[in-house]
Amino acid sequence: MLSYEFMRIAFLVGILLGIAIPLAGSTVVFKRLSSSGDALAHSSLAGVAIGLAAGLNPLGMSIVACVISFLIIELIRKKFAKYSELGVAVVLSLSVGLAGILMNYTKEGYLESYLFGSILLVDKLQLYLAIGVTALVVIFYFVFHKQIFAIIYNDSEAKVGGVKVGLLNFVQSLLFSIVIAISAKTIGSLVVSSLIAIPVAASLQAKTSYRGTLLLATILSVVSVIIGITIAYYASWTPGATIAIVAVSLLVLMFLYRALRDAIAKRRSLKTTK
Amino acid sequence: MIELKNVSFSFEDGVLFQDVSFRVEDGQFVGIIGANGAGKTTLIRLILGLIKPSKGEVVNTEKKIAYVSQTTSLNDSSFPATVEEIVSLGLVGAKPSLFHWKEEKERVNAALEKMDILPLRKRVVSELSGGQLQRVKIAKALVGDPSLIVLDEPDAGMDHDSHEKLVEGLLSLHKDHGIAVLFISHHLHDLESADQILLVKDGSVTRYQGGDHHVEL
Repeated sequence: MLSYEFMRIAFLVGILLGIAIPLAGSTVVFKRLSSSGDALAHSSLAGVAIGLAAGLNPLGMSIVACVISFLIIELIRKKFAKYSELGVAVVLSLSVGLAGILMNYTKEGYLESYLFGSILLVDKLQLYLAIGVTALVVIFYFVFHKQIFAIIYNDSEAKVGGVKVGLLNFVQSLLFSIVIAISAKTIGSLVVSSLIAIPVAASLQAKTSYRGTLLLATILSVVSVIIGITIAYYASWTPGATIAIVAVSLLVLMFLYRALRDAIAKRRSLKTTK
Repeated sequence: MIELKNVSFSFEDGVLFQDVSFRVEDGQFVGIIGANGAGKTTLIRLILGLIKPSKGEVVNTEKKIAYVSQTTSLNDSSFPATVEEIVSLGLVGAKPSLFHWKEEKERVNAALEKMDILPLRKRVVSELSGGQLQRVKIAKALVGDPSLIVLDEPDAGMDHDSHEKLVEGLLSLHKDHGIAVLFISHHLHDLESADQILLVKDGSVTRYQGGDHHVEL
């Protein structure tokens, strides 16, 4: 399998994005805004459709669409505080509608390839982009992880402490949008949302520290990608879809692990009481 | 020192404060009291500079303020963090500090010891009781050596004993360490020893001395 260059590149890009996606997406999951990650993933598809239909760079348009969608979600969240999820619904509907209509003006099958991605057809430019964006995400989270954690904990307390909440939120969202846009071409815009939320949800079952949760989420995401691509290669399945199924299977395993751990703890405490 | 000079504040659907003026001197223990929805949290947000007044001026000369909000991620039972991770957030400022972990650890341990929760430092916050969580929140506020701590209903969800201990703890922080305390409470008897009480009612803020029994909510 690894004797083919396209497979080696597929694994490399998969592992890189497997690190970048849960890191960049963890904040929305911890803030219980996973659905906005889903909406952004769909908006990247609309961006690609606009790019293809208008003869513009699909990747560039995908990034622009993600950033604009993020701004729309935030604007609606601030304007209609009681209906904060409205922005997600608006962006999702708009993205699916735009992508669906513009599909008629693109080459047949081209836009569909963004739904589940085409990780086995990654070119050198996409590889370099994946290396670049992953390096940026890892450096950003390494340097600012305490500030980001403070914002997740409570943004007003962080602001009073001197954290530049607005600026860091903007940079985070920009990085998140770029990661989603690059991932759409390789592992697919529908699949990327599974790697935003599921590895973090799975790692939450371990009930550990913030740093431990982030590390475990990244490991589970990378493991999902490696197992997913391997199974897809031997079973001739779609790699992006297989990665999503593996990620969900790992989540189920983590649920079982937690149930088992809780049962053992309960039994021990009962014994101590007796 | 914090001073509000003729401050007004309006929401889209109406005026909340009209021409409010008062002053909190250095090192004072001040209680904010008022009915639900009177605007106590908004008043705190104005004082902290989190929102801007529609009219007037807020003067703030405090060197370091720590804010203890009513709602944090600790309200989420699945939030992944240990006690020491939460307390260390009190040291986070604008600039990243990556290489001062030893000094940070010492300061975190000192704050945990002050709140009598040092043995809990490695525990995951979702395993703690309501009273223990409040202590964690206050340790987070203390760790940065603030000159003023602002607390928004720190007793929310606490039983009677935990509540009494919390108020005693805040008073001893004020008396023993000279830290100014500004806190929202629903219980007038918490404010017996306060230097002043600010009653928020009908768009205005009225000042009373601590222990004054003429305060009517």
